[in-house]
This record gives sequence, C-alpha cells and structure tokens, in this order.
Amino acid sequence: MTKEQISPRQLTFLVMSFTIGSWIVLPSGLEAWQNLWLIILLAMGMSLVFAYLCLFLFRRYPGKTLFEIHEIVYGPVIGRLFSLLFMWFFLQIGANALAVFVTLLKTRVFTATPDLALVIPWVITVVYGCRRGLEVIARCNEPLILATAGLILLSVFLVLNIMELENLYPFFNLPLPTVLWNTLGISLFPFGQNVAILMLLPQVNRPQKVRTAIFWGILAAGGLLSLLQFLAVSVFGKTGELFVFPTYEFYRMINIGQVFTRLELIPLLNFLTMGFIKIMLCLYILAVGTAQIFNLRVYQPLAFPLGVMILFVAQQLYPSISLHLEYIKLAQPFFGLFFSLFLPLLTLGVSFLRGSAQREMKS
Amino acid sequence: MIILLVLIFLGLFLYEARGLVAGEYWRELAVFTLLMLLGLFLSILLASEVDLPYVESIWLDLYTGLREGLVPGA
Repeated sequence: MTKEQISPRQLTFLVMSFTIGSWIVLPSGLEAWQNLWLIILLAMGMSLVFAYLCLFLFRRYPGKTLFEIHEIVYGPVIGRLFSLLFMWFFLQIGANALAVFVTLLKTRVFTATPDLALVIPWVITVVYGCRRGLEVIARCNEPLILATAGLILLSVFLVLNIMELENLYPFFNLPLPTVLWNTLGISLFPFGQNVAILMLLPQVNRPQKVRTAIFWGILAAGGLLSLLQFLAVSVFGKTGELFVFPTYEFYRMINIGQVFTRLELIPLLNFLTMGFIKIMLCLYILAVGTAQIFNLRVYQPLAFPLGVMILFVAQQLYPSISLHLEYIKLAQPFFGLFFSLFLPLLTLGVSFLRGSAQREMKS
Repeated sequence: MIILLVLIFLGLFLYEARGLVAGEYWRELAVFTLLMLLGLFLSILLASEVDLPYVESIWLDLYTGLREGLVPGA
C-alpha cells in the first residue's frame, strides 16, 4: 500500500473531529443534562487513561496498526478474528454517525425527502474522499475543524443576551451512581471511539509526537463539547433535556436585535462536516483494515462496496430515535467498554505474557 | 429498481476491475468481487424492502437477556 503521511497537528485535528463527530448534535447522558458539561470534563479525564492504554500498545509495537498488532500478539488466525470484531465496531461507528445526521436532517430540515435521497449523495462523497487517501482527508479536515471550533467559540457572544447562569444550578444534584455511569458512558462514547485512531498512527510522520497530538486532540474536543453544553444549559435550563437534538434547538434560540434570528442552519451545516469527516475516517479505516486482513496491496477499490455496507447498516441501525436513545443509555456503554477498554487491555496483557514467555525461552 | 442496481454495480465493477486486471492485482480482484457481491445483495434487500431486524434492537435484546440471566428480576 502507498505510504501516506500526516503531521501530528493533522492527527490532533482528526482526533478532534472524530470525537466531536455525531455527539455534537445528539449528546448521550441526557439524564444528567444540567451537569453534562461537568461530566464531559470528568469523562475526558477518564478517556485519557483509555487513550494512554492504547498508546502503550502502539509504543510496544511501533509502526504497526491495531490489526497488525493483533496478528503479532494472537497469531494470524485468532488475530484476524479479533480484527474482524473491530471491523464491525468501526462499521457501526460510521453507520451510527450517518444514521444520526440523516435522522436530524429528516426530522428538522428535509421532512418530506426520502432517506435514501439524503444517504446516497453522502455515501458517494465519503467514498470519493476515502479513495483520495488519508492525506486528503486530513487536509480537508483542517479548515472544517477550525470553522467548527470558531463557531462554538463565537456562540459564547451570540447567546450572551439569552443565557442565565442561574440555569446551571444546582451542581451535581445527582446520585453518585448516575454521575459515574454517565461519566463512563461519555468516556466511551464519543471519547473511547478514538481506539479507531490506532489504525492511523503508523502514518504520522513524527511518531514521537503522537502522544502529545492525541492528548491535545482529546483535550480540545472535550473542551469544545463541554463549552457547548455549558451554553445550552445556561440558555435552556432544565427544559433542555426534553429535546432530542439540544444543540440544534439551542442555535434556534439566538436572537440579536430581531436581525440575527433562526441561525440554526449555519451551525447545522458546519456540524454536518464533522459527520462527513467521521464517516470518511471510518470508511478509510475499514478499507485499510480489510486490505491488511487479506494482505492486499491497494485499498481504494474496496471503498465503494464498504461504503454500501455503511449505508445498509445505517438504514438498519434503529427503527426510531427513541430506540436509539434507549440503546445509548443501556447497551452502548457495555458495547464501548468491550471494544475501547477490554479488548485493548486483553491484547496488552497477552502481549506482555507472550513477551515474557519468549524472553524465558530465549534465556 | 433491482435492474438499475445491478447495472450500477456492474458498471462500477467493470470500471474498477479493468485497472486491477491490468495491474495483475488478482487477490485484490477476488476480495473486491466478494465485497461487491455482498454490497449488491444488501442493496437488493434494501430496495426490496425486506423486513430485517435492526442492529440496535439486537444489541438491546442481548443486553436485556444478559441482565435477566445475571440479575434475575432486575
């Protein structure tokens, strides 16, 4: 396969986009709505532990992707089985982002448009981006993430006239198990999904800067998400938890001198770009992963059929948004825990055991 | 609709396969063909509006089943 290179700064931006992705429009942990902005900060801290765990794996096998590490640690057969499990994880992440954005567009903007008319152009664009390669995705992402970050920071000034700090009180009026459960949930989704970035790390041109790049990426994404939730809560107060897409509704509230009103489409378009990047990265990782599992020299031809699979899974992901919210609340943390923590931890443990066993055999 | 789908997949397959054959990428061609057939099959299922289970419903059922098994009456 052609060796594509990205800089640590581009990796930071990719981590930011991947984390912000679909969570920005459909946040999880809505039962802790008023304290969500604080819980995001706690979850960010917890996710850094997960990230360092994955980075430890990368440091042990420098220049190897997650799938290559699986083959080294477990051998070719079991290693490929583990990689196939992760393929499903990446497929579901991509399909989830696609399904969430389509639901948002379908319920708020294009209410009479058929699903497929929204999904097909999206998938075509994503397949095109994936075929161009990681360098192009990373370069496209730079202005898009800067625009998103700029917009979120600008929002502080746009809502100054409608925000009330009393809406933020009381702090942490929740039972401890609820706080811990939501912290774990958010540390796994969206932060824990960054385990997918392990597939991109060998392509960073300065590997010694990878740790710092990921650290800043998670920190910046967490800071932006927390700021946005802080603003949304300060505008809506407790009523915000009634909305399915609180960010979208939050931008609808902006009203500056009866001139700047109904601005929600601008941030919506902006946040859609984050969805594009997230799905594009998932598709790229799926294509490169498939190529590694089957020992292929090129991955580009696989982009289209894998794009069709993302489309299919997105269509068959959930029948209604209420079921999706139930899934996020109940099953998603376990699903995320398995892929973002348990499997990397198992791989690390087995790698240590095999490493020490090999050393004993040599001595 | 199904005929249109088959034609689109066939067109894309021929476009991509030409390059793979010219470069003697046989292994890549085999995997690509397999994935294209799978993609075509899934697209036909979607187009025919076949009633299929939803992914998150399956996970939720699994979660409920496990919870019932581990903590009866929860």
